[in-house]
Amino acid sequence: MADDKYNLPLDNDFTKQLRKIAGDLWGKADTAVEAEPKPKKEKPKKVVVDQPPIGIHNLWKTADETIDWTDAMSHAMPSDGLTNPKAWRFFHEKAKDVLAGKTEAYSEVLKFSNPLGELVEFAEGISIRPAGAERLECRFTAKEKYLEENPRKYCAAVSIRIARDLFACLPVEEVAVQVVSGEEEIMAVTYRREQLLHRNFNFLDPEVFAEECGAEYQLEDK
Amino acid sequence: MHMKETPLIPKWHKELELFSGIKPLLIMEGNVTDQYRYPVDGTIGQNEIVPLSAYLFSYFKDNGYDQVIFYSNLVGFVSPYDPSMLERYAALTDTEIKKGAIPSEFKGNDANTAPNVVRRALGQQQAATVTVLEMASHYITTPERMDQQDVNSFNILLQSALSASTVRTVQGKKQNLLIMLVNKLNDLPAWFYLQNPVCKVITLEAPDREERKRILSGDSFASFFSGTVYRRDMPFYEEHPDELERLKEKFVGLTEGMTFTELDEMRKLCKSEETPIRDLCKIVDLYKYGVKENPWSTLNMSSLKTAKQDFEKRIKGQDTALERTLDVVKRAVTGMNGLNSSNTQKPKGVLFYAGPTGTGKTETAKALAEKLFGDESNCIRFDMSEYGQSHSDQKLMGAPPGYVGYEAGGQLTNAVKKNPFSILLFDEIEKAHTSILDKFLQILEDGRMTDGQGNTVYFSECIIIFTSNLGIYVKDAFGNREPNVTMDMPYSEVQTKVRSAIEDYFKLELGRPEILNRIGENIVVFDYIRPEAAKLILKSQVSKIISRLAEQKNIRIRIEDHAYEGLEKAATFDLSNGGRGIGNQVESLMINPLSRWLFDHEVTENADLVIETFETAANPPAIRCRLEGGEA
Repeated sequence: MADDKYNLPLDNDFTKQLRKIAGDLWGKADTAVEAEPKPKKEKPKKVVVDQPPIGIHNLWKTADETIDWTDAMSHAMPSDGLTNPKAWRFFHEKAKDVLAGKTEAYSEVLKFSNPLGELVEFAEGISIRPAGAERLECRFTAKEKYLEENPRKYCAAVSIRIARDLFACLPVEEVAVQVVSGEEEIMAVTYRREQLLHRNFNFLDPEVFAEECGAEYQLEDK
Repeated sequence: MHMKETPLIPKWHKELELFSGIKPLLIMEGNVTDQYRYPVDGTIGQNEIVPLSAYLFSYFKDNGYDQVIFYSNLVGFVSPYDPSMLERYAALTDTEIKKGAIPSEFKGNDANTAPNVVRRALGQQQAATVTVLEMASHYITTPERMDQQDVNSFNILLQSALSASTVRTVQGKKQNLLIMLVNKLNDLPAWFYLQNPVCKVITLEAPDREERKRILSGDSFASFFSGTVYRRDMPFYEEHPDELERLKEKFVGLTEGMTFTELDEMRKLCKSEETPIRDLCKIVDLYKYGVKENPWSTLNMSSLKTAKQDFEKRIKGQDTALERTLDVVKRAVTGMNGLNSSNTQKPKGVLFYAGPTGTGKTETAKALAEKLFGDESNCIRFDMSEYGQSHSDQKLMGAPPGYVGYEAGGQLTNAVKKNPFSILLFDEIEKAHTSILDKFLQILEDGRMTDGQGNTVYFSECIIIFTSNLGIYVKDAFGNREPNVTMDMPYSEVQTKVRSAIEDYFKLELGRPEILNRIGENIVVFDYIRPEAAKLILKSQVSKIISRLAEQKNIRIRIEDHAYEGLEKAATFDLSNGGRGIGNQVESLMINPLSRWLFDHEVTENADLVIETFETAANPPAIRCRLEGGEA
């Protein structure tokens, strides 16, 4: 114990050099200072799944998680253990009206959930309007910078993503999307829910799909 | 105001309530890996569906127990629902917690083996304790092959239960409890639970009709459907509540024997498939068989309308039998089957074909399979003469665990599991052992059967056909076999006599009238092959040979009229062996001599041949032919 005071770590360069020389001479390192640090217990590494950055090239491939309205009606607390309890409480309160197709309830849900919030990077002035129990109408202004490269792909990609997000948010059958540039309409399409069901969006060409769904473009005239 | 449902307490819960205050050792067996609806508000909310362990935890906690601890031989003692309980348990049993569990082996000489820990937990009087041994079926390999350490472990558990203490709690006196969860009672040694005064066995069964109904009641019905489907379809059913009630009733009937877990999985499937409310019952097929389209519902009605004519191309002279067979099929297709019964799980149809040999019974079954499912191979044939021994039922249903062949399963159950939409043909049913008839009774009544591996096999999409030669011969007063019907009798007489002989066989000889009841009015008697039908059979067989030779070898055959007449006379002379007899005659009088002639004259292909005479009286029979354009 008495020797301990001599073993106190000294951290200036001079003492470090001295210890090195001493170690070289006597073949022994100064254990008090050079001792290997005690191995720390390794904490389990956090697993982070890298999500590719969202751009026009992959915008339609992802969508919001579907709100399970029938579950929300039957359970006061989230049954999946994943959904935020505060959000679930709101859904639980609104579920009956939403499932009855009340448009006021739709509007409240849209306001609360803000399903297209992530798309401000790609679209301006997004507005959504319930047009009856079965249909939502969405309109947005195209961003000029995206129109320059491949306007068809841009309009199709954003409109598909809008449809997917809105179908995930509310139990409607149709989502109509209107894209405008300035005052002029450059694309209009109506997606039906069954057209999007069981689709693998990873392997889907947005332009072809939008056309299959009846998309009409006025881009050529522009 | 929202009204709470009256709690529906399952029978096993009531037993648990009753005996947990009396018996210190409870063995819960059966459906222990399932989930259950918690019936009342407590630690868990009413109607929440939870695993059995969570159910038990809440039940005992709500009833004043201080700690509920779970043990499995893989992790030791744990308290997944309240970790603080484990600390108290460790203190009471003088054990240590390592990595969130009290590690403990089931057997061994250590003081900290699970039985020893349980002994200390049951014996203490400081905290009312429940120890639940989960997966207790897997602590030993088999009860028959226990070593001394296994025996000791169970012995300690038994002793612990015998000397379990009672503890005073704020909710009154509570007895320390040991609960063992096992799949089957015989996974434990019999001496452990038989004649054991402190032990109570509680059986957990799959949810009964009432429980299954609850799953579809109130708001939980909505959770079977996606929001869109529910919003779109529900207004119709709100206006037609009777329709909805009928749909729910049917679903409840179809899901008989299913566990809560299965029902919950079906709910998820229904939602992910966006199934409309009207198709709720179709999800049962999708879940059971993994197919979306039930071949029964996609049958081509117009092709069924012409089925009789198509059948007649293959089966000659059996108008009444074909008519009766098609009646059963039409009943199955229109969904009228089982309307007179509360059980909707019964097979689609049951037919009992009787009649003389070679009259087309098996052929009809095959033709039916081809018509219904587009392929003759969907007719699965079992020759019941192979199932004459008392243990033959194991061949059909699979051997029980521990027996040779257990892994292979049963021939019948495997076949139906592989192809649930099929025709099952049990040939010569009277030759099967009576123990098999009992199994058939269950299939005909419930439409399902549990195989040796414990899997339920459903027969509700099958047509079951039995064939039999019963009633063709009877025994006289001296026990001699004599014909009951003959070819010179008209069909109506043959039918009456055969039917009455079959009834006598089941009622008097076997003493099993209940089997006859299940077959009901579905006995179809095939007529003898009459001369007119025999001529048609011969014609079809001969033309088949001619066209096959033309297709495969380019050998075109023409038979002169007087030659054909000679063949017809010889081949249809004796009709006692039915159509099969005619086939044998064609082989002996035509195929064999023709091949001999072709071989001798080195005709292998590309020839035009005329058959001038069939020398049917010759030994062996011969033919006289000539090659067109040259004398042979």
